[in-house]
Amino acid sequence: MTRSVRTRECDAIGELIAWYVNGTLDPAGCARVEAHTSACERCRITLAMETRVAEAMRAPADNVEHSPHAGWQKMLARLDAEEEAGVPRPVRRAAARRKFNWPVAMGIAVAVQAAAIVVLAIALVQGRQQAEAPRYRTLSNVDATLAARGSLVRIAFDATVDERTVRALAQRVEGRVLAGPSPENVYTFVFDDADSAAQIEDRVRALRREPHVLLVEPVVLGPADASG
Amino acid sequence: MSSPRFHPDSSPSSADEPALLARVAEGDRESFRRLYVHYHRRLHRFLMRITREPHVCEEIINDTMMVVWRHAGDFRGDSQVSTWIMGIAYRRALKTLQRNRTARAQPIMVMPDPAAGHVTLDALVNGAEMHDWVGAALDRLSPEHRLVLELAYFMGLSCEEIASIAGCPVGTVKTRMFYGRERLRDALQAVALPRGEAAT
Ligand SMILES: [Zn+2]
Repeated sequence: MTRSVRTRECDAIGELIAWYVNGTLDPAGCARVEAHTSACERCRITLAMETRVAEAMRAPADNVEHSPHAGWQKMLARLDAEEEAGVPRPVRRAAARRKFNWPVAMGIAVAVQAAAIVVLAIALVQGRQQAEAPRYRTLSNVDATLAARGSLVRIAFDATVDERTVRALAQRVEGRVLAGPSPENVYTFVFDDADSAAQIEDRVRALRREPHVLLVEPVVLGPADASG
Repeated sequence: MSSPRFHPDSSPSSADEPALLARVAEGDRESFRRLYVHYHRRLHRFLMRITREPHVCEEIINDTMMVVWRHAGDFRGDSQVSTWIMGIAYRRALKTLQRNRTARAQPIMVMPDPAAGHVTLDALVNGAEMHDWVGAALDRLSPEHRLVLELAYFMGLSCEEIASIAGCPVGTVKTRMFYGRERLRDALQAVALPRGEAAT
């Protein structure tokens, strides 16, 4: 039996091997994997195995037809149906964001987010956001000032979700519904308890795992927001 | 050993994509069509592996692209457009796998003996049926483990790229990959060396 004994380095290499095999490991990591596998039979076998697995996964499937055209025709039909049904286009947010000037864009994104609150506190935002404000059906009795101090997260749901479900979900993640639904079924949740970024991230992750959730985007509100 | 990076559908025009997406946000259907055609191939490759059924695959592609159409204006540009779109598809794929899993839960029933495992897997490495075995074994993984393997080995994405797509920390991707590979090895033994043979 020449099988080598498992060492700490074997464990470390075990975490790198997959990324070595798919070619995304940095050069230092590659050198480390190569040095170790040339000396350690155990890890050499693991590497050979992983390489075969990756090859097997990449092997072309049998004649799966790929043609975008049929799909696009169906998509067009969906767009037309929406248009006919009078579903409005989503808010044209942030012309400035197209230039990808991120500090500015972020300010505007935040200002647009504030538009969700603006129905309650129009004074918070400048006139240029007002056109976008009515997109949100804002819930009553929300203290916008308080809300602005909490952490906001925007969540897009698919069309099957009703408001009761969304409220229950908000409660489950210890937040509450601040605004929504927009015509696109987007809600804004607020987490009042001034959580750490990590806690917010946990909740965002939990939300992303929920059925019917299409998109989750945390919104950062800072002191400069109201002035954009 | 050199290990060239495989990036089957890396786009030559990814620099133009934010501008294209911005036009989509304004309701420009022609821009949307271009984006759709461009991403269809990549989404199709990825989602066919998850769904195995062309019509389900096409449905998820269109659901994904519908989100792109409706939410193009929300794209914040802190990731690549491709990462953003793949992130939407990822969550759809995850849900599909979760649904399928509850429909036909199939726990892995092996008691892996590390030493025996190595011996038998040595033999597996050169097996001609490897392709089928890997496919069957992947079906037995948890959705999260399955997807990290698909994104890494099939799509050729880095740890960091997968973290952005899955919306989780890089450390989580590394952990999922580590355990995902372990589970895949167990599952491979279970499918390729059924009942008892694994111990010989
Ligand atoms: Zn080793």
